[in-house]
Amino acid sequence: MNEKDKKELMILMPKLRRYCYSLTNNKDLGDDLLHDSIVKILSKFDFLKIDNFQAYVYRLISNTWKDNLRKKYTRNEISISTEGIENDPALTVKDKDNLDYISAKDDVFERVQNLSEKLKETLMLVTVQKKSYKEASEILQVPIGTIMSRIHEARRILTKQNDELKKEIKK
Amino acid sequence: MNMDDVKLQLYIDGELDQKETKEVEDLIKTNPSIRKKVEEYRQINNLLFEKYKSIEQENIPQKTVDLLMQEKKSFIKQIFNYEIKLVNALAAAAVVLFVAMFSTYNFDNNLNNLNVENKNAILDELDNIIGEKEMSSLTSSIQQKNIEYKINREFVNNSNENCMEISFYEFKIKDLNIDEAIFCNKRLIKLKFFKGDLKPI
Repeated sequence: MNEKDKKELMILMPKLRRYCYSLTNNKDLGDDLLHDSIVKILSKFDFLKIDNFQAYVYRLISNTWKDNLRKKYTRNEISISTEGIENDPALTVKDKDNLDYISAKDDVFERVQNLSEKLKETLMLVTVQKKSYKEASEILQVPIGTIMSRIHEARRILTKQNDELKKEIKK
Repeated sequence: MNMDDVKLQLYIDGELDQKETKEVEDLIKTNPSIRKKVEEYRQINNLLFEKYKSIEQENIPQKTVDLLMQEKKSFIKQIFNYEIKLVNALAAAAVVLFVAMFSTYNFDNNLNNLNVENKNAILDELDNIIGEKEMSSLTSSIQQKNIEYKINREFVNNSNENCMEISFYEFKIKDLNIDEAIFCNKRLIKLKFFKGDLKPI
C-alpha cells in the first residue's frame, strides 16, 4: 500500500472504528475488529483492483465481523440471534421493578444487538455512519431496494419490541 | 411495507427530494399517529448515532496505527507482486508474438502465390500511392488498396545535415522487398527497392 492510500485509510480510521464499535457494541471487541480488518486490508490491497476504496473497507469490516461470529458460533462460544423477538431477554423479564430499572436507551442498544447481522449492519451504516441508501448498497453489494426493506424490517422489529415492552411495564 | 411506510423511511433517512419532504412534513402535521411513528424512528436513530459517535473522540489504538504506518512489504509479498506483474508481461508478450508470427505466416504464404503480372500491378499501385508524404498516410493508403505489407524495422538517424531526422523503413509489399523508405523530417523522400532501383519522389 502506498503512502497516499495509507493516508486516506488513516483519515478514515475514526469512522471505521465507530462502525466496528457499532457492530460489536463493545469497545475492545471493536478495536480488535478494526485491527484484524487493517491486517486483512494490508495483506490483500496490493493484489486487488479497487474501484471504491471506502466501500471496499467497510465491506471488509462487515465480512470480518461475520467471519469472527461464525468462528465463535462453531466453537459454541455464542449463539447468533435471529431477527425475531423471541430471543430478546428484555421481553422475558417479568419483574416490573427490573423493567423500570432498565432505561429506554439500554433497551434500544440491547435490542439492536439482537437483530440479525444483516439487519444490524445495514441499520448501522445508515443511522450511525450516515451513509445514503446508495452508498450502503455499494458497501454491502445488494440492491437499494434490499437496503430499504432491511431498514424497514429493523425499525419494525425495534418499534414492535418497544410497544410490547411498554405493555409489559403497564401490567 | 405500505407506501406511507416507505415514504416515512425515506424521509427519516434524508432520501426524499425537497417536494416529497414537504409532502411528508405536511402529513406529519395533520396525522398524530404518523408523527408518533416518525418521532420513534428518530429517537432510535439519535440514540444509536450519539452512542457510537463518542468513540471518535478517543485515540486510535497505537498498535493499529503502527500496523498501518510501519507496514513493510515482506520479501515473499514483493516476490509475489513481482510475479503477478511478470505473468501479465509474459502473457502480453506471448499475445504479441503470436499475432506477429501469425501475420508473418499469412504474408509469406501469399508471397509464394504471386506472379510477375502481380508485381507490375503492385508497382503501378505504388506509383499512385507514393504521392502520399507521411508514413502513416502511406501505410493507410496501402491498406485501403488491400495490398499486404509489413514493416520490418525502423531506425532513425539524426546526423544528416539537411534533415533534422531521417527515418529508414525496411518493409515488404507483397513479394516486393522495398529495402528502404527514406523519410526526411517524417516526410517520404524516396523508396529504395530490393534490386537497387531508386524511385525518387
